[in-house]
Amino acid sequence: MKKDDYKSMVSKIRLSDEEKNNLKGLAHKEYVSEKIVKFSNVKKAIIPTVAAVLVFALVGLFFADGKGKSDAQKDNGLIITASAAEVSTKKEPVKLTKDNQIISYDNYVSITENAIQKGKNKTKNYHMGMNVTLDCKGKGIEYVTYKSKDFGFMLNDTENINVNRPVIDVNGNSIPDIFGYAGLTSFSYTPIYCDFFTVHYNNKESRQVSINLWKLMDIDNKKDIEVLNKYHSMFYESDENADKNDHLKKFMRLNGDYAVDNGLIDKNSKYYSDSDTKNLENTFNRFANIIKKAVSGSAIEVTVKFKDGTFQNFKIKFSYNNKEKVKNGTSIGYGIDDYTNCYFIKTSTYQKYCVETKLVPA
Amino acid sequence: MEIKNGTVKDYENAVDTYSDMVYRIACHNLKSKADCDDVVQEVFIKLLQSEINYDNAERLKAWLIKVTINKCRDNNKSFWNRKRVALDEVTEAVCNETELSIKDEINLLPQKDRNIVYLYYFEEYSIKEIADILNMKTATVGSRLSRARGKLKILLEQEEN
Repeated sequence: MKKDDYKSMVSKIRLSDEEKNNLKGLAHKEYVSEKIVKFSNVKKAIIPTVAAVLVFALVGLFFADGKGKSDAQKDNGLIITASAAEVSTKKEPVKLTKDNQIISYDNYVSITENAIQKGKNKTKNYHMGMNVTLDCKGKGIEYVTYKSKDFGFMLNDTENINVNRPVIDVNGNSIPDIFGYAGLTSFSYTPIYCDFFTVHYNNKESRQVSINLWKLMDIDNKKDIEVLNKYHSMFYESDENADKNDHLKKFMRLNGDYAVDNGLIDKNSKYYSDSDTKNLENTFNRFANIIKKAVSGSAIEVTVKFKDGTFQNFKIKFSYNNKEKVKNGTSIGYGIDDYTNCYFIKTSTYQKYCVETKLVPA
Repeated sequence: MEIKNGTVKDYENAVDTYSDMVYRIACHNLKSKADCDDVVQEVFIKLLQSEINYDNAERLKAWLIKVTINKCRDNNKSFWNRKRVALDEVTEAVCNETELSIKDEINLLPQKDRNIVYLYYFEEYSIKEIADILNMKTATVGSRLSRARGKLKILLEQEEN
């Protein structure tokens, strides 16, 4: 009965007909803007044609003027054809779309302890995972291959995507454990793990692909390990064990008067002392440095094959950004948000610590 | 009339079929009805701009769920007042007492767990399917679902047996 109550409650949440009609109306607005875009494309296409006609006219005038008349007709034809062809097939360089240049918000970094410890006694083995959406945009692309020496790739959706080989087979056999996938054998279902993959464009100019980048890290610094353990406690167990986890309780001085929502531990700031804030800052700084070490200098190699048989190569490099002051200090919020990897710490003003990576064409 | 990867008719069908779902997910995640309305609109604008294939209904549905949850996260990020919840607003006038008490219990769940509960019990996705959609481990989805049941103090699964 309870399940039915839940379904009954949810089924009553409906968008009004008016709202639905408004949504449908968006298609017509969008259609109009599409037409505008198409018009601008047409305009672009006209330019080379007009240029060719002008060249033709100028060349015509040149010969009409009586200069170089002997080989005129043959050269004239060649020049115009070559020129027009060159303009019309001129390739624009492939660009990363703007949205892909910053990994933020819903693209987050997580670090989890590797299930199979490969590190020696003094080190611990961690997986770093980063969600990122890649999209190389350009004209005349046949396919794009993404390859990395620094990351392993995990793909959930492989429609029109070829992977070099699944790194984990269904039985968990023959796993070349370059990126520590062996620790992920419980994943041996839909997601595909690979070293490189190829995205086929099928006459499209853009193909978004959402992937998870994996990196295996050996960490030997005791304080780093301690921070990662704290991080793990806070972000992965906080909502289930906030009242049981002694470490978390002590760390956050939670005394029952707290709220956990969306992975965010929220508490009135009056319960926190300066030393708590200092501890949090130190923890987050150290965590941010771990991420920095892990991502800085890493790259994805991108090879674009065009339909005309030519190639373009470039790299997507990862850099790091941290810490940004937040002006809005009116909130009573005090929390840690695990979706964004941005940590809001209230001192005299709010400070936002972001573990953020950027994709920069090399 | 044509839009990217389909016709306006395809898009309108998608609105008819999935807008309630998108709205419900938004209401499970956001703080006010106004935010939900905004997110629903953003999701369908993104649909118009996307290259998603309208012919593959399951894929389209999963895509809409992902985009909605991501949009909700973006929306929540700039929001500090977490005391109010959209579910209160949208259920108050239409739900009976029992349903409202269920709603209150759902409100107590972390956002991630609310989504899992919704996808499992309302959309009737399997744990594996939810893991695929949310890009999570099946084990994580399973444990979160189990935890959510515990938190809700409602043994929803009893009805299934």
